[in-house]
Amino acid sequence: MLRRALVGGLLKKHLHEDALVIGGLGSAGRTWREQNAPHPTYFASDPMGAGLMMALGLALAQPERPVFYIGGDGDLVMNLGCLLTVVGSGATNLKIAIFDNGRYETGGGQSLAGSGSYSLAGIAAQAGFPHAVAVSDPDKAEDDVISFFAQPGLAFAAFAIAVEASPYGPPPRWSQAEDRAVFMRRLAGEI
Amino acid sequence: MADSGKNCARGIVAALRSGGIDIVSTLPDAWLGDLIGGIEDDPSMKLIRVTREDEGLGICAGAWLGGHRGALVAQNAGLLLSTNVLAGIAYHHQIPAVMLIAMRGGPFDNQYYHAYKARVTEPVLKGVGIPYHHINGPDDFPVIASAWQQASLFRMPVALLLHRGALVDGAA
Repeated sequence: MLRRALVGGLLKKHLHEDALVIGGLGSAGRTWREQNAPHPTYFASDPMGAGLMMALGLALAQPERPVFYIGGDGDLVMNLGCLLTVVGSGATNLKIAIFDNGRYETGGGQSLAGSGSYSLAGIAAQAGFPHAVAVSDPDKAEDDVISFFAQPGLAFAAFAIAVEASPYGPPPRWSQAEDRAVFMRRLAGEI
Repeated sequence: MADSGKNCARGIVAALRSGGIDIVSTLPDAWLGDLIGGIEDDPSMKLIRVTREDEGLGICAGAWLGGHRGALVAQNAGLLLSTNVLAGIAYHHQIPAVMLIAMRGGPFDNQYYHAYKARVTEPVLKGVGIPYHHINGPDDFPVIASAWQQASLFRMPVALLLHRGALVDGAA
């Protein structure tokens, strides 16, 4: 099992410098926010299940840039069909990292349906991802992250995350729409 | 009839193109076959097939983040399914999109399973506060061309409710 901070640090360390990032809601998104990475990042927040598709839309709109989605397993399993859509889209510039702990962590730690009986990496592989791995060994995690980002096309990694508290903080200063405007203006080179 | 559908599709695709729409997500309906085929054949647009309609709204949102203009093509049952994502994109993210919705359940539909959809589609759109327009036939296609402008000004998705005359047997 992996600590969230370890995985977040490795992802920041090895993510391509030109990458654009979509962060999901909950503890995975908060972990990425805590990295203070230089990459332009939009935190997709709610509605649950939509973040990965926002990342796909961004990847289709920006085919020359790597796009990286970091989100939680609860978000993903609300819309597992997304994996078929990603593969079917033909996009090749999208990397997907899922924090996989079988729990709705910030919702109080309740179990996901079927928790413990499935493999997200297995599901992604069967959906047609050319690279789909489960990462759980702290001693091999960095090599796995390097290999994940080095893939020439679509890649999916499910990180086995240890149970750690991840409480909500206070509401941020800026609204979602205000953050969205900053992200878009940064992409446009205006700021 | 088949020619009418293809003529309608050509008119709608031309309207979408003039509105600058270039990424279209879809989940089919029997009335949408010609339109989806027309979009797929248009080199200025990329067609993405989704497994649920709310995925398509997410793709529209991401496309706009990246500087493109997205549309969803689906049946009104898919619009109803997508209500939570629709409201989130409209109010939380404040992102425009165009939704072309086959308005099933009207007077020309002869199946019980379609009937409820027409009865609840407009009340749901009104409840969520989403702007919408009825597209009854080719005479209304200019509204499709300008829908993106309204969505962009409102910073929220706009729904175009496509009736049978606009998709299957309208004279174009």
